[in-house]
Amino acid sequence: MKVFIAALAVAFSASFALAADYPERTISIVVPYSAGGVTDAYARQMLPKLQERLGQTVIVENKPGSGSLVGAMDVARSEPDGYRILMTAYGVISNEVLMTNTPFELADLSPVYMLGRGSNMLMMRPDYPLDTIQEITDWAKAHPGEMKLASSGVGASPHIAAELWANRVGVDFLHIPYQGSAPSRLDVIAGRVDGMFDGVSAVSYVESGDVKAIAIASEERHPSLPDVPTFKESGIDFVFGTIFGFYVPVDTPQDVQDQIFAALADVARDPEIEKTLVRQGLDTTPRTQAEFQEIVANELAQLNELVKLGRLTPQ
Amino acid sequence: MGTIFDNAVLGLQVALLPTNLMFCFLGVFLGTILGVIPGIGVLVAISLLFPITFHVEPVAALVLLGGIYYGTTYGGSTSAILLNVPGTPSSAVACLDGYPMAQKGRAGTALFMTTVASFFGGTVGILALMGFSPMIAASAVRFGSAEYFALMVLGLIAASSIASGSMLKGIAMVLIGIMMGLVGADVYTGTLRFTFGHVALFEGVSIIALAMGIFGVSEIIHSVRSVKKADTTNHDISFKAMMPTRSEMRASWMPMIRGSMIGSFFGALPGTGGLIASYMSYATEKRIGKTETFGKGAIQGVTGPEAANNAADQTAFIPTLTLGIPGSPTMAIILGVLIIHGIEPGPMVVVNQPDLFWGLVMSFWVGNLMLLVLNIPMVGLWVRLLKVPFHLMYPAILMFIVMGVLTTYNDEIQVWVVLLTGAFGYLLRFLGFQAAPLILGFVLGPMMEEHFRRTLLLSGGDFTSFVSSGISQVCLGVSAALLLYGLVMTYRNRSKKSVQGPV
Repeated sequence: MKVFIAALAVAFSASFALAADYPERTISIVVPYSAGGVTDAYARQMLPKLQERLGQTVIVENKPGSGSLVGAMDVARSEPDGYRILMTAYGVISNEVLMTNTPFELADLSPVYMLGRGSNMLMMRPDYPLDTIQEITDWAKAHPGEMKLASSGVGASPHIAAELWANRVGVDFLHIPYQGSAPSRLDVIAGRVDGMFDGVSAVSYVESGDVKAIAIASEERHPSLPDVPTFKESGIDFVFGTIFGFYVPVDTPQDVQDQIFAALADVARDPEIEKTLVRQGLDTTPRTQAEFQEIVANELAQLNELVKLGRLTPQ
Repeated sequence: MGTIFDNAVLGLQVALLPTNLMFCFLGVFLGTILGVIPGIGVLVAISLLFPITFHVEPVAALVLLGGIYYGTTYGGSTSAILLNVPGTPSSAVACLDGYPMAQKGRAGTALFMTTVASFFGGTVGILALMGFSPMIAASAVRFGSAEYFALMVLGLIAASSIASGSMLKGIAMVLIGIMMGLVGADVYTGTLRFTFGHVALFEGVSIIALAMGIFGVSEIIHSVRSVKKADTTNHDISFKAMMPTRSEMRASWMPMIRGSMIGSFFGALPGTGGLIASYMSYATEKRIGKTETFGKGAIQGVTGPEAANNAADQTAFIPTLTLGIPGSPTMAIILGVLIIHGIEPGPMVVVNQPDLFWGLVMSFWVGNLMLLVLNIPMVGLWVRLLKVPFHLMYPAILMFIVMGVLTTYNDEIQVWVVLLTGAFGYLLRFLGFQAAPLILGFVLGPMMEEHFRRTLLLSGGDFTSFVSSGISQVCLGVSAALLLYGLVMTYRNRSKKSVQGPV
């Protein structure tokens, strides 16, 4: 009995200490992509400032596999104590809709902090005869299923962007998936496909004239591409890009989540880090946790609509 | 040509900065040590050491990684020759004739010639990287899915004819490799194939785990069984013993030149690289040379592929740096370092950051020179490293293999993949099948499928698109000829045997 009470006391004080003294040991940031990717780069860049801010060792663990599924599952199943944090791009949201047959639910995670949002732009091969989004949309409407749009993979953000755009303007195109954005870009440059919805990281190809940028799916024009109009300017209400964010297990105490949010928000506002993120083309508008959760919910709704319309096929 | 010279001078100014020189040395040295240890390949070495680079300047970081990269390749051949255990899949070719040379007491010569061939191939590769960078990048753009498909068919047919003995066994291995390669998500629909519900298999069987298992673990099982003749590490590696005979020198020149050219070409193509280049070179030498000595210690079988491998290691940077397209997982990591340091790889790097580009290129050459200067006197050290008694060495290697897989994947299921494929590899070995074509089938199979289907998707199902370009016609034509030749030879050998049989 004594032992039981002692154990209870320890357990109680442990859970009590958890909230008050967080963090009291090493924190792992799980990146569900391999070392060297963009997400990994952002996480590692924040590492030193984050350690300083939290007063604890913070490490990045790469758990690549199945388009972020392996890492997301790892965090979802870990102790909800704030010591394992997932940092991921769009995959965790699209997988929820596209990969239904997996032992993972996005509901097992709580979105905590949104680092930023990328934006996709429609870029076409250099010798493509049409130049404006209006002409391209009209042509695609007149020739259903003929425009060849590449993507970096099924369910990846260029694919989703293309489907969302096509759905919004009511056209059908031929989807040509690749493995990663580099080979798909090369076939756009070489003119084997008509174009693709690429991230703003493809800016250098636009500058070098290897591809033509038609329109960008953001609220405002991109500073590096002042001549490229937004879809909105052309009368198409279409804003889309990958979302970089931090997630914890859903049962993590709210005050721990608040502490994580505060630490991440401080570090992300560091001028040097913010500069890098903006240079990479991210929209870093500060958002509260509730706003982030709403954004994730909206994305899910949007994807589910595409599934319902038969534009995306879940596995 | 003047501009190339200017660029070389600019590059040398960067490469010869004391810090960069130091990181180059550190990379080459660490890479060679890790490469010599069987089971630790380029990918594992780079994955282990890559976090160090976050704390140094971009150029120094890349110089360090570059040094590790070709140091490991070089070290991998050392253990391939001395132990018949390739540290990396691409040094597997060095086993085919390097190990028989060592068994004949010519280990010193094999190691020396490996160093010379590496340096030669590396230098040719760097010259290609400097001079033909824009041209090769442009020809890479001309490779569409149909061309890739044809090239891969050629690679696989060539690979199955490497299998000493039966071409049929080689093709069987390629097919098993392709089947293993098909595990995972379908590129075009995302449908999961042959995963049996295991999340770890969604992305397919891992190349590192497979290579480590089928080459590393099966070698250890084999060595444990034949532990009595474990004395093979007692090699004469005095400077005198390293010197090749005049006829060996003469026999090596042409393979080195051909190997460097093959390597430079395949290295520059995204998705191919050192592994395919070294097999292609081996296949070429085997076709040109006297076939009966191959597999029994032919020096051409060591120098050609070694030059090809190292030339490919250099030219692999062409698509990575100029187009931002990594041709291999290793290049993907190096690309990642660039991005972390705020450099957007692509056509603009050469233009906007010439000091980075040319500094890197010249430091590759300095690194190759270091390998040459360091390793001839230090071969003794590497050999001593391998002189550790086998009953200590093999459990340690097994530990390194498991550690390497764990650090790469953080996932124990991959350890099981290593052990299972290791047992399978031993079975193959026991039955007289070669594992090398299997690995190639494994790598190329899914890529072939991807390009085959994309070709049809883009052409609207028109099969003539496979032979619409000159590149495809040549590749498919040569493949058909090789296949026919192999089948005729197999048939002839068999009918010869059946005549001799009753006698």
